[in-house]
Amino acid sequence: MSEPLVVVDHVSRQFAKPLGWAEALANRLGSDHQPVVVHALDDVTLTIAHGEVLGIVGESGCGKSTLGRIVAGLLPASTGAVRFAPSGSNAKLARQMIFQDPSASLNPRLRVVDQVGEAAVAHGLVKVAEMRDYVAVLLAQVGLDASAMSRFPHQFSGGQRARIGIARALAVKPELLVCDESVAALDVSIQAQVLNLFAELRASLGLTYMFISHDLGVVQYLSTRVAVMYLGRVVEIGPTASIFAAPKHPYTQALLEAMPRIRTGQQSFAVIKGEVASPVNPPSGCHFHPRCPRADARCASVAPVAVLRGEVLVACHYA
Amino acid sequence: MSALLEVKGLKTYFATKYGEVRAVDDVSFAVGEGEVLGMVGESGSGKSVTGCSLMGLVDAPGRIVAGSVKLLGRELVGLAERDWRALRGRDIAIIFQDPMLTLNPVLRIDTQIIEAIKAHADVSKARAREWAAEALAGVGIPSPEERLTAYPHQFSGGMRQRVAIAIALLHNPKLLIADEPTTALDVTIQGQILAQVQTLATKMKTAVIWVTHDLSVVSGLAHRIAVMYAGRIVEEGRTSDVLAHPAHPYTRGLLRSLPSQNKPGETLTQIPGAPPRLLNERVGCSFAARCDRAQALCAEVDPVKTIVAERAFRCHFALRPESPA
Ligand SMILES: Nc1ncnc2c1ncn2[C@@H]1O[C@H](COP(=O)(O)OP(=O)(O)OP(=O)(O)O)[C@@H](O)[C@H]1O
Ligand SMILES: Nc1ncnc2c1ncn2[C@@H]1O[C@H](COP(=O)(O)OP(=O)(O)OP(=O)(O)O)[C@@H](O)[C@H]1O
Ligand SMILES: [Mg+2]
Ligand SMILES: [Mg+2]
Repeated sequence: MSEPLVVVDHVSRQFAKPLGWAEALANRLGSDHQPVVVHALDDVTLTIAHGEVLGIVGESGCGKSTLGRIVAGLLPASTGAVRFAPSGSNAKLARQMIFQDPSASLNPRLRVVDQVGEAAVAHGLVKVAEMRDYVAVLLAQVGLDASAMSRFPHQFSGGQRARIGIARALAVKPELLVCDESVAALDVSIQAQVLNLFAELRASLGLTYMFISHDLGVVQYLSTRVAVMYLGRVVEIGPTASIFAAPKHPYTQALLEAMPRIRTGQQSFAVIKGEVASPVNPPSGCHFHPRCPRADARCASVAPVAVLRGEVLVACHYA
Repeated sequence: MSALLEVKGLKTYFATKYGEVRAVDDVSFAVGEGEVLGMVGESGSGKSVTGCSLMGLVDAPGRIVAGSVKLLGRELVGLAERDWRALRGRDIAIIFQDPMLTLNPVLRIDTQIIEAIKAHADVSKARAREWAAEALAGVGIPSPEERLTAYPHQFSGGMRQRVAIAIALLHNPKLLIADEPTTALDVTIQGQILAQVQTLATKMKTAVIWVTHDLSVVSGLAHRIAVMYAGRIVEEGRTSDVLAHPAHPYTRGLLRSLPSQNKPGETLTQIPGAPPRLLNERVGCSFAARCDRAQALCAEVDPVKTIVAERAFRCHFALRPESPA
């Protein structure tokens, strides 16, 4: 088997959460509030093979974006390492991140041609004189007309802006795209256009994806493998079909049960109780144990080690 | 038996410098006791403006230019603000996507709930406090007495939304309008809230209008679905019927574009183009330019509402039940 494109090796990441204004004020008056530490990622290990789409799912605050930024090389890990082995020479350009809000990541004062072509010229991938032609090809690749080139971002619809963001990422010839909630802001009919585009680009350019989404339906459709995260840890990872057909971790089971699906007849929404705990003070042992219907004393004290069950790695004492 | 809520020919327009935006343009529907109506449609289709119109919350430059909204036979269009205040929070309540539209960030939770209680009920301070704690417990907030003294920012997004729901439900409203209240929440929290709403409709006979852009959320919750497009309800019917056999090509397009309705590797069906601007006179069907079934007639004649066996749709060439979804 060939070397994976990305290896995430025991990566943890903490953030110092600055004091709020109330605590800062209290400190001036003599209190002693310390900045708290957020444990955003806690010993995450995974790989991404060439050409695969690794979906990352989990609830808000579980560390998906932090993992994405570390894999994209935009944020250092506190401990552990990420190894990235692109075939091209420029490892920095070979991984690109695409964010949720296409409007926020585009510069409103730049014409599309500069928006998309600038980085490629700056890094010497194309000459200034060739930029227009280069951008025209990229725009065609994402299904936009060359006439889009001289317009500004606000003159496009949400779906078109998403395409411009994708064209800009493609301009530097990446091998890995880290997509962080890239379709979350789009209406379903537009979302379908962008998801189709991701699939086409994967086939035509051999791209590899890390696809972060809280939308389980999207992840099930697009990804080849899925990692389920809970409070900074990967609790289950494996082929998409296996995980969706037979989730093994109680959290994955609860998540899939709560997933709204098109159905006929009323859905019974009664699902797991409680809310995700705070990453400032993660529960002892298995992070999920306070909400888990199966948890016992062992779960409260010992963090489970991931074990292989078939093709799926699960971190649960009782899976 | 007449419905709890009857909306007929509702038109809510906004005067803008580009012209009149026809945000809600001839919308009619009814909701019965204990019934959940799912109102789905894409961004800008007029869902929120419809909800606000029912609550008397349309502000200038918008106004209701035509139509009728009847709650238990009483006309609400044109009601004086004083009468609205007596009605809102008691007979009709709304929850928004952002709970901070309901909650005041600088007031403690107890202050806000007790104020909402006293607006419509003449009870002692002690009873109001007890009631407030019960209300929080009712939406699944643990140790409610303690939580009462907290401020909204000390709660997570899901908890805040639950407080907003608790306030909306204080006086057992006959009609609850929910405008995407779970869109910003995690699925497990969304599941908890949907379960509560289900119980409410069943046990308290509350009528619910659940507004969302997500067909899959309402498929398991709503008894009936109304699909909005460009300020209109283009299709309405029993949830199972609409999902299994959409009559309007737009509904079918929406269903087909859902990733969960497609096998991995299959190309998703796209609806080409984008929704129309809502300015100016309608000529023909507003979906015609994006529709794969459109013919010359569609560009010329605005389709009227047709009703066939509990299903209403606006389409000249509606799909028949036997055509594949
Ligand atoms: N720069 C930062 N400073 C302090 N805390 C941070 C920072 N970035 C992230 N965090 C915290 O780390 C945790 C994980 O955040 P992250 O953004 O990775 O979650 P997520 O899974 O992407 O959530 P969402 O689904 O809401 O986007 C959260 O508790 C967050 O508040
Ligand atoms: N104050 C206003 N002035 C002008 N136009 C408005 C105003 N409020 C709403 N509109 C227009 O009315 C139309 C319907 O808006 P509405 O908020 O009801 O959409 P929606 O279906 O709720 O969309 P979303 O899913 O994005 O919430 C939109 O075209 C919007 O631009
Ligand atoms: Mg994130
Ligand atoms: Mg809205």
